[in-house]
Amino acid sequence: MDRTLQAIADAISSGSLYALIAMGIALIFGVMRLVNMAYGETVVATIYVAYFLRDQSPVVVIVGMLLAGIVLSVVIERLAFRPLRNASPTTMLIAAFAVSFTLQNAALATVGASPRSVSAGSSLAEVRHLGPVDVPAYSIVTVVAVIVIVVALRAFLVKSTLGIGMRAASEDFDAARLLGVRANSVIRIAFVFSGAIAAVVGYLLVSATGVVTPTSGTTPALLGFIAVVIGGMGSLPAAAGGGFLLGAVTQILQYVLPTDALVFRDAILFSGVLLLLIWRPQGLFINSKTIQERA
Amino acid sequence: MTLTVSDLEVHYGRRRALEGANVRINPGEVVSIVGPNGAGKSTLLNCIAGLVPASSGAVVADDVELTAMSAERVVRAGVALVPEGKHVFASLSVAENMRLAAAAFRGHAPDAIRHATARFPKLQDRQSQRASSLSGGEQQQLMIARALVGSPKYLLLDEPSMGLAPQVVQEVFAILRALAQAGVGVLLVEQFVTQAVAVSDRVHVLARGRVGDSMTKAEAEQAIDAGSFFEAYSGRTVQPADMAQPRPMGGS
Repeated sequence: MDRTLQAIADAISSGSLYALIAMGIALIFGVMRLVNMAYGETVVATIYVAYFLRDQSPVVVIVGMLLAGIVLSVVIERLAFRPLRNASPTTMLIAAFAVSFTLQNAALATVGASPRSVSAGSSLAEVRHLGPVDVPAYSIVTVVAVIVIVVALRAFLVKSTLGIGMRAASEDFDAARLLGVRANSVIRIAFVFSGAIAAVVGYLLVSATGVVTPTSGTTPALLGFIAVVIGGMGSLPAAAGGGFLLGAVTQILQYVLPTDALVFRDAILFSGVLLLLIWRPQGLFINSKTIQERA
Repeated sequence: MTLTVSDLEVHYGRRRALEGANVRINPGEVVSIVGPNGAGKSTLLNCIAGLVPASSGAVVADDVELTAMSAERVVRAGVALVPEGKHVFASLSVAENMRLAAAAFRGHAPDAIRHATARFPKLQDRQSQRASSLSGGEQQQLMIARALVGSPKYLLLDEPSMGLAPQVVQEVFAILRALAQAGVGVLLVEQFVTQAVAVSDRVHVLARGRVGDSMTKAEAEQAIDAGSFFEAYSGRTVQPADMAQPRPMGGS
């Protein structure tokens, strides 16, 4: 029983982190139809900022990470993606990969390939006992962060005019522009939020691992993208759901598979993803009616 | 005070979609552009509205040059486009659709929304409903109502009759006539020729990217009766009965 509860606790924690990553990617995809593969490098950049600010107070580190995520996201949008806004999705995807590799190599050239130890969030590694379950503090913070971000984003998207504009633009960008919605503002605000979420993801990731390398962001970005596809592209709640499911199932497999079979965990996981996409190519949490409404 | 399109050309890559178009719309009149599928009608409206860049030529509204303006600036300059097809924001409520339209015109949003919605009683009862749950005619009305929030001087409509029942088309066209009487200049792109001519003060035929000379309503009706309406451009005669048929979906 304790093992089951522990598995559930870990699944919730892992699912929450994946949900956050997926939301950062889905925000940009929603307004630009761009799969931002440079998202992982944005996450990594915020962790390097934490590394360079290691002698500063935690507040300074967190603010520095947030600023780094936001500024880098906005700069990438302005320099790389805005000139290509009317290009084909394939061109945009290649551009995103180009930005990703450029940032990765810039990091290799400046800070090197060696893993750097980052102390930010190390206090969150402390294990708390919640009844029969041992939960690291960062797991609790991850779940709380997801809830806070989802509630705040929802309030923004439903209550504010800019948020309504973002929802409209994610459905039909040209129709939104015809009503006077400023394309640049909507896209910039999406990158600001995405950059801020990248900083939160960076903080939580490094709380768990304690190290960073220039390629630390590749796998999270890829998993985030897969989560967005699983949930359903173009919808923030669907992406969050896809992320949660992917993260949770990964953890559950970790518990239920025999030790000898653990090496096949990812093969089993992604075979499941493939089957799921064959069954519901539009994503798990998007129905065909929604697709038709957007067409 | 006019909306003037002069020698407007649009290219998609190497293909010329619009060739030296000249159109003038005065406040208070309805001008129709009619023509077959693929003639360049939607391209003309999208270019005026700032969605498609012009290769050459000019669009000027009341002495303000719109040619290089983005779509979001053109609407602020008083030229609103109701695009072809269903372009309501399906996941937004009717009220949210209207609120979004009013956001570009700060300072008088509640009044502007009330004023724009006054012409559409059905929408007033459906404020909290999702736009996707409205009928086709109601969605078209919502698109027009949204475009009216900024009190545009010129309203461009791309195939507003598409997919609507004949009676609903009559209602929509009656609204356009009322808007013209209120001083709005209306540029209507349609394939539903007889209906378009009936509601218009002047008519242009657009075929193969070229806009023909302006005809008065009487001249257009006479040409329809004579069966020669499209003759000059399509190289064939289209009978009035053909032109009055609702046409297949799809734009140019």
